[in-house]
Amino acid sequence: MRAEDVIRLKGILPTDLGSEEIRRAFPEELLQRSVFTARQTSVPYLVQLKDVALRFAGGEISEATARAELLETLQAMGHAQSDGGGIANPASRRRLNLILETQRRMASSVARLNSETPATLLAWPAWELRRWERRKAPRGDWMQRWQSAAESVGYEGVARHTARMVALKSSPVWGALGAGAGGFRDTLGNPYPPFAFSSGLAWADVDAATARRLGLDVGSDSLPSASISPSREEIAEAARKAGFDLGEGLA
Amino acid sequence: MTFSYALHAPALDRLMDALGPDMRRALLEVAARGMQIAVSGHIEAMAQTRHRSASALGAEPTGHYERAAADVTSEVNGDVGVVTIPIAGFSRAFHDVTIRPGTGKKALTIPIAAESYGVKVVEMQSAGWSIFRPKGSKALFGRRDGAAGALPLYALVSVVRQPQDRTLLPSDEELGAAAENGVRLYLQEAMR
Repeated sequence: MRAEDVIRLKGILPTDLGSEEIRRAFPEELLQRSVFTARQTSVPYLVQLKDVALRFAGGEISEATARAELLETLQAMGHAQSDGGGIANPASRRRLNLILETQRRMASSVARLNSETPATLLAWPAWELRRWERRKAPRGDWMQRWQSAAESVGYEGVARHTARMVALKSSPVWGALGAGAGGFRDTLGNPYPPFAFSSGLAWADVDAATARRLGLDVGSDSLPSASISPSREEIAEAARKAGFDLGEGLA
Repeated sequence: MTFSYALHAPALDRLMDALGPDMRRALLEVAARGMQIAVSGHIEAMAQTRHRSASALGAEPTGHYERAAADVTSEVNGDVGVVTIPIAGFSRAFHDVTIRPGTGKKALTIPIAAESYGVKVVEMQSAGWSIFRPKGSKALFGRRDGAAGALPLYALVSVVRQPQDRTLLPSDEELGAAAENGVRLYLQEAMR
């Protein structure tokens, strides 16, 4: 499943509520499966938003083209960028960028979750939450958010003795982070990036050796028997015959 | 966009053949993930150096590459590992690209001012700019509401040809090594 497929599967949720009210009024699962934007009740616009977000997430159109397409519809609805550059203006560049980037990041996160298999989990059992995009005024409280989320789940699957925000992919810390554990009100309710509005942080895979070094309990219990049906010796023999270097101490 | 890449890794091919279909699928998954990680890292690093157009105009970079680096994904479809790069125009990595005006349009608009960089004409108009083309000019000019002078904002061209830029992606050797590294990581864990 690709990011554009994730958006394709979403429904439309017209609402005249603001961001905080939406979060209080609708279950998170519904929001995660819907295309919506605060105080937007126009179904035709939301249908177009879904289509544009889908093509943007698939790399078919640029962000500027996506904005321009949406803007033409918004202008017909009486909105203009000259109404102000703030987030409250549906036509502002800032608001449109936020919607498009949030939809793309959410969809790619879901696509990544869906692409996890026993094999990928074995090789990369953890994620690191780190900054991928610069911001003019980055939030300075990510470590505090992380600690609050980790404490709320008793540090289950969380790397404790490191300044890095690393946890097993199965850790409940991701849900706690998205739910705003610690009282953070700008989160999106997702157990995956983006965890907060306009966040430039996203996941990076962490391999098993690094996860182990950071103190995580990387067990073999997630390994399905089908994936290792050949024995250790059979794998080593096959690798030797194929001329494939398995690395130090294993070949 | 999604790209197909014929991985030249004979040792890996032989290993996949030897270990049977279940294992072959698992090896494809970790090979694709290895490549995904390499592509993401490459685009992230490249994005820090690709600000020439913006810098020349004194404009803010659009973050076109930077914003998408973390959104590269991978999966296995049938017997093929797939890496998806959600960046418009990324096909330049594989071949020359020729861009022509879309249906009903006569020219492409190339930003030539900081104000218009990364911004479409419709956005400039919506932000209160009057956009016009002086007679005989091959550029669009703009005047901000209430301002006295006009600025050249966009060059008008009938076609843009972009040569292939293979540096948008890791080299063939780096991609092959990334796929092999994914397989190696997996097998090392499977054999622990």
